[in-house]
Amino acid sequence: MAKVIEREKKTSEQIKQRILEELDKQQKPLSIQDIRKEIGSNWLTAKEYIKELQQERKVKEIILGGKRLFRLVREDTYLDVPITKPEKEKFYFLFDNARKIFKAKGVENPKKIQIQKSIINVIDKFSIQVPTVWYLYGKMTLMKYEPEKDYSQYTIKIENQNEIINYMKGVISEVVKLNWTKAICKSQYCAYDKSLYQKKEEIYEILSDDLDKNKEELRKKVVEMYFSFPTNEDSLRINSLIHEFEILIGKMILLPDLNKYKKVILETFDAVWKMTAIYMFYESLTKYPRFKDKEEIKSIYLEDSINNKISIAEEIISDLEIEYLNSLSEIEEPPKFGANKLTDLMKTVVSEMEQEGVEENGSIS
Amino acid sequence: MDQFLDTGIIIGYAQDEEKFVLFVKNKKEKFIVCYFVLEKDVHSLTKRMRIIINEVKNKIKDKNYQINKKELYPRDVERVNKFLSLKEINKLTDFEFIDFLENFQRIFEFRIDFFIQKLINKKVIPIREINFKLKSSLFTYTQNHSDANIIASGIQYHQENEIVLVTSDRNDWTKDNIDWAIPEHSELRKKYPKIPKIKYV
Repeated sequence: MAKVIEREKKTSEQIKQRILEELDKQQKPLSIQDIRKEIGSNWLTAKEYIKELQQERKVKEIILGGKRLFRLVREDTYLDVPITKPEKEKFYFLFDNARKIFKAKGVENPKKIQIQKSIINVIDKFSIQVPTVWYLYGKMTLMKYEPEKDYSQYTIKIENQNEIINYMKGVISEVVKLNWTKAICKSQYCAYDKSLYQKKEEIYEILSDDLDKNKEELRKKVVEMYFSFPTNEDSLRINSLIHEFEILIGKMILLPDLNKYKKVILETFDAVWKMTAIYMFYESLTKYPRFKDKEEIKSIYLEDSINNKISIAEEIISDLEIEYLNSLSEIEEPPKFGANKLTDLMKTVVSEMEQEGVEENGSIS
Repeated sequence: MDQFLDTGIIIGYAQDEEKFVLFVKNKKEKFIVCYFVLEKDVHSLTKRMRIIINEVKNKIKDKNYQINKKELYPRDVERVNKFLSLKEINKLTDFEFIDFLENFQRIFEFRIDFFIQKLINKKVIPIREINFKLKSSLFTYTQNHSDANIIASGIQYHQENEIVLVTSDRNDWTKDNIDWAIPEHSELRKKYPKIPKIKYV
């Protein structure tokens, strides 16, 4: 009876808060039935409150193995991936101290990238047990750093605390010296020998320059980036889109005025990179034992984002192709092959393939 | 008379072969192609080339790389190996050979795109409109699905718009093959009484 009275006293806000806490505590998506049990209410009530939380964008519905489940929409981590309480506390410790050190060195408002890159260095040096991922601008903490947020409220005792802070001071001194976002990122890509990210940076640099002067260089870097991207069963679609982009760039550099297409090439590369980076996020995240169920992690947290980035890249690559095809009408003569024995052999192979033709289903006969 | 082109004309031009380049240079009539040429033949050929070249590049970059046989037809697996031995025979460095392959591929595709965009005047007969009986009958004699579909498209289009079939294939694209496939007094001949002439490049 006492329990019933207590339940009646709860306001709707309290019940919703309770649902959010439970979803946070469990670190996994729950069904309405699971939530009902945990908060001690009936199915209809739980369903109503979950619906409200969905409308408030605090909870997201997902379908997993045919089951309707709900997960928390987090604001403090990338792509809503959950972190544990101890991990959160460690991040608070790192963010708070990094910010203080930057201030002590005269950087009143350090940029997110400065904080992130400094902390990653420290995390890896001391093997601090917190999740880190590779994303748009390289390796970063799974928890977002927010400049306005107060991170001083941590209670965790960190082993080697003083040693970590001292090391952090040295790292931050180096980062402050670089004082340029691109330079900070580049130094990380270099330190981790991440060819994919190095090529990305080099392509952006070429795209901000005179394209007609750097055509060959652009082609080479795009090819190298394509080959630096991991080829896995679950990256085939992304792989083939990067390949499509690579082939398109290879053909476009044969056009007389490439600078004319600079803006559209840059936009396309941007979409290609965002798609690539989200895969790198997924790949690096699933290396952690608790995220090792790739299919589940993808379905719960990443599927929408990955599909969305793929669709955008598909669309924009197709737009770039249309630009290229339209530009062909301005050309009088297409380029020719260099005359050599090897080219002749290639031509023989192509003719052979042409004569084989295709089957009804599109395969060769 | 409008010229209805076989795939070989586009590919020959893309390969910069003299007789095809000359044929294009002397273009006076309209160039017509059917959708089968564009959507099946040319598309499939460039796709296969891309896969073969990519596999060669993968193998060059990583000696332990296993050729992706799922993506390739058996004959194309052989071609990957053939290309790899070409590199050895010609004593080219990895970089030189990859650069050569990429260069070949992009010029080849560029020339195909150029032909399709700039030289073709009309695309006709969607693949779904190709008469099944007609192409089946043609297949009996040509034993080649591409030829059967393209010739069928040409014959269908010729009933309303006079054309000449243009090919370099003197073995399969013959008047005899067409006459055998569409015998006089047959149902097919009643439906398609006009047979286009064939011009060889």
